[in-house]
Amino acid sequence: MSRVKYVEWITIIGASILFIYIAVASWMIVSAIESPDREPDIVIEAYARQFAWEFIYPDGTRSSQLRVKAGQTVELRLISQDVIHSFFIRDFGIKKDVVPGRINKIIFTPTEPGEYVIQCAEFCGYGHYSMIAKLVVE
Amino acid sequence: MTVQVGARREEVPWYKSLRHIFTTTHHTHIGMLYIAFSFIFLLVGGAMALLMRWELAKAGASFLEPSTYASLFTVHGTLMIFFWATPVFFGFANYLLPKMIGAPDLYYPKLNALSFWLLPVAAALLLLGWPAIGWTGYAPLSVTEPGVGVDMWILSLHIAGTSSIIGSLNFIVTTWRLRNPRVTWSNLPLFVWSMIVTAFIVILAVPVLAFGLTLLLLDRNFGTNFYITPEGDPILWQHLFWFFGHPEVYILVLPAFGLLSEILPRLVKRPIYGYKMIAYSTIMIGVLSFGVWAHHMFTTGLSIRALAPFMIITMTIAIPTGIKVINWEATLVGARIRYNTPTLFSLSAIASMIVGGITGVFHAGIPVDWQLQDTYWVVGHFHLVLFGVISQVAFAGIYYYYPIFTKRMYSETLGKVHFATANIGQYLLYGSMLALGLMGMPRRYFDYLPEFQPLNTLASFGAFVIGIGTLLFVINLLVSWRLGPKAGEDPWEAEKTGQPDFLGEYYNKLDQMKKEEAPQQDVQPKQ
Repeated sequence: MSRVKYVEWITIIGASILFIYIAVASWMIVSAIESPDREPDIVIEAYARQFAWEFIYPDGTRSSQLRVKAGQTVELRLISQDVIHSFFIRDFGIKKDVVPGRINKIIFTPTEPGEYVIQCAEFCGYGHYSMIAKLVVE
Repeated sequence: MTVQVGARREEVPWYKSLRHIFTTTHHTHIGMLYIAFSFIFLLVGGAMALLMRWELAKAGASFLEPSTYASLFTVHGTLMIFFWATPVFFGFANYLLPKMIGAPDLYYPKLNALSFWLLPVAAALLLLGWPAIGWTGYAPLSVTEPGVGVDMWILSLHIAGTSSIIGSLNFIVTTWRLRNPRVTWSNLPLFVWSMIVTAFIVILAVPVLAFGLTLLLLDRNFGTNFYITPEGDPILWQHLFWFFGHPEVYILVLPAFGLLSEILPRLVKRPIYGYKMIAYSTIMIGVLSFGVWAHHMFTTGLSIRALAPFMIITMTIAIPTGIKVINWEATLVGARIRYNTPTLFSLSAIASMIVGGITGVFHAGIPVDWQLQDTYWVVGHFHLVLFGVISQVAFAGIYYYYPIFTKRMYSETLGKVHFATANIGQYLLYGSMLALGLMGMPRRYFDYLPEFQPLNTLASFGAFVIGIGTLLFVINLLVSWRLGPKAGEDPWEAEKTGQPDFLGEYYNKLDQMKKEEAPQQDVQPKQ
């Protein structure tokens, strides 16, 4: 076997091992995010429409801001009133589409108090860029 | 017909007579028409990109309306994919494929003319329609959007798809039926290999797009509810669209890989390393490309058990691509590299493939994709492939075949300036986009948060650097066509170093010589 062939096979096998490692790690992380071992402390409904977010809390209050407490496990139910949107908190690595006809769920536990940006990440019309809301962790 | 055109060519070149342009069925003419057509739309799509970058250079609205901006990125995306990257390689294939296999023309010359002349119709429909739904046209936005713009977009894609299906059938039949007997599957030029695999992908994937588009047309105009809840499901559109859409990525990139595998060994005067591995990896990419579509849908809320196989196949498809890159690099080891414009572009295309490819593999990991999906990271990644690899290989191919197409040489100085601007501009523009994506700037945003300002300005600067370079490139091609120095028969000394540019024609020539003279020993070209 020539030297180049040798390098080629080492690269192929090396890449395969790396990919297997990444796939296993990804699967473990995804499973942990999708089915966390904690029950949600609060369930909030997030309504998306062109081009605004609205959050409805268990007690019926409505707000264009998402306010939660640090350390509280939040379950968000994502409901679309028109087209597909996507709920994106860049600081938490959370993104999930808001699809008409289904209710997608996000479960997360913010730990650091502060203000974060919620952006729409799926093109939903000319005002897509303006569909920004604030997440306040107290 | 073809004989007449060939005979008249001496006095009046075919491209100077409108009648000939509209009636020619010769594969070299159609090929050059394809390439000229795609260059017009490279400039149109590029101008749209520059308008968008001018708007984004500064936070806040500067001179566009948000709805105009949405139309611009929709038409820019559709144009660059269907009217630049696809036709430019169909043009190369038209010109080169019959010569490489030793055929006098394509098997169906009239169908070939048809498949070219459908394209201007499709492009006109797209530009007149001016839709604002994103090139992916996600339902239900594309269903509820008022006006006829989206309907014209649908018809435009129907026509462009028909054109590429006809062209692909033609390439397949030609390669099967019109090869010189000595051009076999084990020495078939690698460009022909990748065009064949591409043609099969087109034939299998484009009808699915046509089907999805027809349902969309019905939903919009005849009150059906395929993509509208509660009877239908908008996710169906995404399945249909990406079942076509991801193979489409390989429809664009495989011909570029093939052309690179063709010109690189001739430029460095060394046979390609691992011919078999490159051919096999092309087939492997073609097969796997149909098993990765849901990696565009990791965030739609589908069950992660359904998504996991797509994660694995997406990683697997990176391996045959890596095999190609390694074989190109192995071809370079120990070669005496001539640093002329096509070589420089070939080398930079390999570099872009490494950067563009690795930034893409990140998406295979579902949790990483959740952060990066629909951000500028994606935009940076696929532009590094579409511009950095596909367009740069097209540029390298144009420079390489320019003396063969036009019998004249381009200006090497302008070519090197083009190389420098394309690469500096590319990393400024797409590098900034990658960084913006990591910072969390979603794509298709008309305006952005203030912290994204500096990188956006840098990106816009890079875009204009690329724009200036591309303009110089087109000027170089047009001026050299008239004023460039005359080029010889074998401009890159390919035949002299044992790798004739057109293997089939070379065998035809030998057969002819054999017929005329006594049988003589011929040199087997290295492949």
